[in-house]
Amino acid sequence: MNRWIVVLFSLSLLFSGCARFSGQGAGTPPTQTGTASIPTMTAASTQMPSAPTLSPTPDFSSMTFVEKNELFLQLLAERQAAGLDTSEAEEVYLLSVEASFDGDSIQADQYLEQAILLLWNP
Amino acid sequence: MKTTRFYTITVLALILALTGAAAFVPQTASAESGGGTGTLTASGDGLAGIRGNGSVHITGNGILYIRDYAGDASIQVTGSGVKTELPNGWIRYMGFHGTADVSGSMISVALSGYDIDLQASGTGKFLLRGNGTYSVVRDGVVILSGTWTESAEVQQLP
Repeated sequence: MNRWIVVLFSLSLLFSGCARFSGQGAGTPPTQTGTASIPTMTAASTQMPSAPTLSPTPDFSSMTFVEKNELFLQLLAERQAAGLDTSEAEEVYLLSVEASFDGDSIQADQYLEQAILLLWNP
Repeated sequence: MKTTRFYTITVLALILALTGAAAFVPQTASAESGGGTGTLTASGDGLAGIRGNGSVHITGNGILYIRDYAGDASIQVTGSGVKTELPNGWIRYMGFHGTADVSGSMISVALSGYDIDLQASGTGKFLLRGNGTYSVVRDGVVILSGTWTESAEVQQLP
């Protein structure tokens, strides 16, 4: 009886190894593939500060990096088209880029969100 | 004796199974070590940046940043965008839509926006944050591939 238990256990491990081999061969890219599509904004991120029913600030916690980045670029274009001074936000945004180069996501996100807020409430 | 042989075979089978399973775990974004230069190819949305020695060809839309640390860079930018030379050494192209070719011994190139396509050859480090894919080739062999990341993960080229 014990012998059969050991045999069954061994066979299950062998099948497990074979399954990994057949499904995840060397050189296979990660399963999470990039779509390279233009990201969609969340409801909070698409709201403009001039709208009457706005939340006071964007809901950063529910936004991805791409969504926040797109929001910044969108606000920047709008504020510049309106003739507003966006230099402070641009400086802070560059700090975010530099922090990303340093691999510091937390700092980069803080600067990015700060840059958005500078444009959000110009 | 028969029982001993049985258990020996069983142990060998277990070792083989475990070794096989470990050997074929997907090698996500793992680079081979070693010298030489590599070529990075990437496309996606978000922030693409590279810093080091070599040449960069990048197209897309957004804000383009270029910095020449060594003073020997060749910079050619075509398309649209408002160029500003910042006091801290960065050159910025706001509202960039076009192509940039930059080469030098110590350069940084970053494009933040969408529809970014990047090709870079040389040595250094790169950052791909957002949604997209990339691969690194050295000596005709893909040594690294994967997707852009949500966090700022800096990787070595090659």
